Amino acid sequence: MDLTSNALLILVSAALIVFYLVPRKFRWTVLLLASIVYYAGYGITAISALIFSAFLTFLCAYLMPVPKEGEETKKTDALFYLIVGLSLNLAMLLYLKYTGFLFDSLNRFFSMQLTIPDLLLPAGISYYTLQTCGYLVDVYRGSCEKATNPFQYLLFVLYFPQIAQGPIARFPHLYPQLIEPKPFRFGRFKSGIVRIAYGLFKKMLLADWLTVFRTAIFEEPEAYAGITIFGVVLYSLELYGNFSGGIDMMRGVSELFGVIMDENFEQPYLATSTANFWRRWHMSLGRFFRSYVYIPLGGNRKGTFRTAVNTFIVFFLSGIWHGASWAYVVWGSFHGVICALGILLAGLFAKMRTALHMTEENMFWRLFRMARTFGIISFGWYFFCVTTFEEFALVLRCSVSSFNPSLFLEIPAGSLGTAYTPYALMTAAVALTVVIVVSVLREHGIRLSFRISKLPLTVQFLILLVMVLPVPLLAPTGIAKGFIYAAF
Amino acid sequence: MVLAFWLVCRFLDFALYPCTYMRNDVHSVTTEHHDVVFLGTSDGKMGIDPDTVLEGTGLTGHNLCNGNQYPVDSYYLLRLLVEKQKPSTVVYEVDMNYLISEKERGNNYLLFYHEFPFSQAKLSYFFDTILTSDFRAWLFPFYEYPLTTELSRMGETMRIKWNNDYGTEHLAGETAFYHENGYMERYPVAAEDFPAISSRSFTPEMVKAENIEYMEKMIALCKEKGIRLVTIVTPQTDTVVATFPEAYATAWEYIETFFAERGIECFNFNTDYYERFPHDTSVFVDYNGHMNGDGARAFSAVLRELLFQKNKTAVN
Repeated sequence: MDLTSNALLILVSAALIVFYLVPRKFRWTVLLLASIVYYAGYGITAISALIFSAFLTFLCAYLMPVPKEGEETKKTDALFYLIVGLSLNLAMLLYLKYTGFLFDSLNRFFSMQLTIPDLLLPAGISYYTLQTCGYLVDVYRGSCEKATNPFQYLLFVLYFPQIAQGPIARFPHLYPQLIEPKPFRFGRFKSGIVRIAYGLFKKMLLADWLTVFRTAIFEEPEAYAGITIFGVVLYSLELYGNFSGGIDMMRGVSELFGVIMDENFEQPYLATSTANFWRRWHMSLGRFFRSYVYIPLGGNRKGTFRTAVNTFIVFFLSGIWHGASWAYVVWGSFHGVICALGILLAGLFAKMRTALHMTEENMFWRLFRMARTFGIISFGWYFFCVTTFEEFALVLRCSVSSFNPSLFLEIPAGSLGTAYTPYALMTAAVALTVVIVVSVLREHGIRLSFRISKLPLTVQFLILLVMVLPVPLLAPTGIAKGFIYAAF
Repeated sequence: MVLAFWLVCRFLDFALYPCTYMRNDVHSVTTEHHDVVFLGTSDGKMGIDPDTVLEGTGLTGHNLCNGNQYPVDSYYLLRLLVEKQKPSTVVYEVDMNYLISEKERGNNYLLFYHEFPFSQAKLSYFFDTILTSDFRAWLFPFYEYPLTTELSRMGETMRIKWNNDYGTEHLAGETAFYHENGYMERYPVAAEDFPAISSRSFTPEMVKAENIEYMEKMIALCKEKGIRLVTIVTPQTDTVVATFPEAYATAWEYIETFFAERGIECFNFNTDYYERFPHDTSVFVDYNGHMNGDGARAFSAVLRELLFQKNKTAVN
């Protein structure tokens, strides 16, 4: 079920009516039912795999003893259940997601003749596997209460606003909200609607138009050699609009049910370093790797070199998590190397800053760092846009071979043709400006949605209309483009 | 708030969704009785003049064909027809290109659905197609049309809808004239001005299961309701057939066999009935099988002979 489909609109509307009609203690069943209906759209194999994973995890955690100091036998038992739970969940993910990649690589590099199995990858498996693994570790560490009802635990895994593309929820944060929903509050409901509207705005006015231009450029990089360099910049912005727009929409939907999901973005393109960027982009994934990989590896407690190595490992794994392809491995390694170098050379950079009399507060220095970070991150996205190294080399060559921005006007604006191209570019530019202004204000602690909520209701409604109506009026025609991160 | 939002959406639909041929066509078949209804694609729209086909028979008919009408659309148009009236004959024009391609999301996606009055057919159509489309198809159906065009004719659109005007004046174009009976008369085009021939291909493996599914449903519905279903394949120019002989031969054999196996009459004007109609460029406006006005009237006369000589009693 696509996030912009009528089916979801109907499902959410119907679920909301029933949700607020039934007594509070039964509301979680409405959410579970809605989640099952939502996920059933992905097919019987997908939902079977998910239910298997959820019940297996529930059972392992349920049987896992909580040892006190000195209870060695119980500790061993707990470790056993942890290993069983983690192994089976990760094995399922590895088998379904990476077997094809592994066989293909073996065939390519060792001239083997392995038949690549045609495995169906259940939607959201990369997300819910991390979520279930996180839960198991939290129970093992004793940092959260266990779930006692398997169906309530199933809801934690299956909760429909987060299943397709996250955010990856933490059990102690999401679970209590799901099983004991908050009472209806008009303010929260309004806030949810505003968030949905802003998500739609980002997704359909900014990202979808940029998709049209970026796709045209990357499909024929030689024909558009004069603007190929913009292709990757467009992709950086498109990915942000697409992913954060989708997350905003689903966080908004969740707010309608009184459930507040974790933030996943914090103005990432205003980051002043690559490490800082990764604390602002896909924050729930970063939090997962920090809590369950980086810190157990020793974090930054074992010296600079080990910190750099641990950082590299996290990014390498993050790359693999994104997809079963060498492009993602290279992409993860690229960021791993950049961040590791940042750690290793931190002392040198500090000396240089002192020599140049640059302080952290200096605006020009800050702007330079933001631009530099954006450049590095955008370069990294090249690996997301291409599927082979030959393609990567071609796109890179075309990016630096010539410069002719007027070529943008030769790209047809979807089915509307080139006559509409200037309007499309203008729409994307205005949408981008709005997103930048909102981001900068947020960076300075000013939340427009909060200010708007203080205005009279009629004015709020008019502002909402101004946000929503440009979507059907100005977004690309045809079916709305999909969500990039849902494919991971 | 929800009601206010809904009203805004309805107003924008009223002001910005254009008045199309399909609006007139659906209005005609849901408010007037027609004995014979023609379904199919643009080849049928420009090639079949119901008045000529039914001349002297005392029957009435309407051309419901349109470009981008896939079997799923034809099926739901047929369901609507059956719900609102019961034609004695349905003539279904089959285009091989519509068997091997999928209904595109984009301009014209809502062309048919949007004009349906509230009915069981509309509800089923919604659950079958619109449900999985993005929310704009339901809440903001005007999104398929460029704002730059629709804003400039917003006044006229509202006037026509407000007055329930189903006249044809606003539908006249520079290259064609729309008749009240649904027939689109194309003005002649010299062969040297025809657009270049586009590529054609057809193999049975390319046929999309969904298209077959809905053709099967149409056949079943006609049988259930006692409606005579006649299928036709309109003539193509010799030039285009000679350019892609294999694709056309395979397609025609596939179509003829499909309908023969199901006991449905099929008149293919490129094979068994080739001699009944000229295939040179003088009767066409392009290489896609679209006829000019003279060609369409001549073809409609031939169609009359076949429809009524072969099975006169079934129509009456």
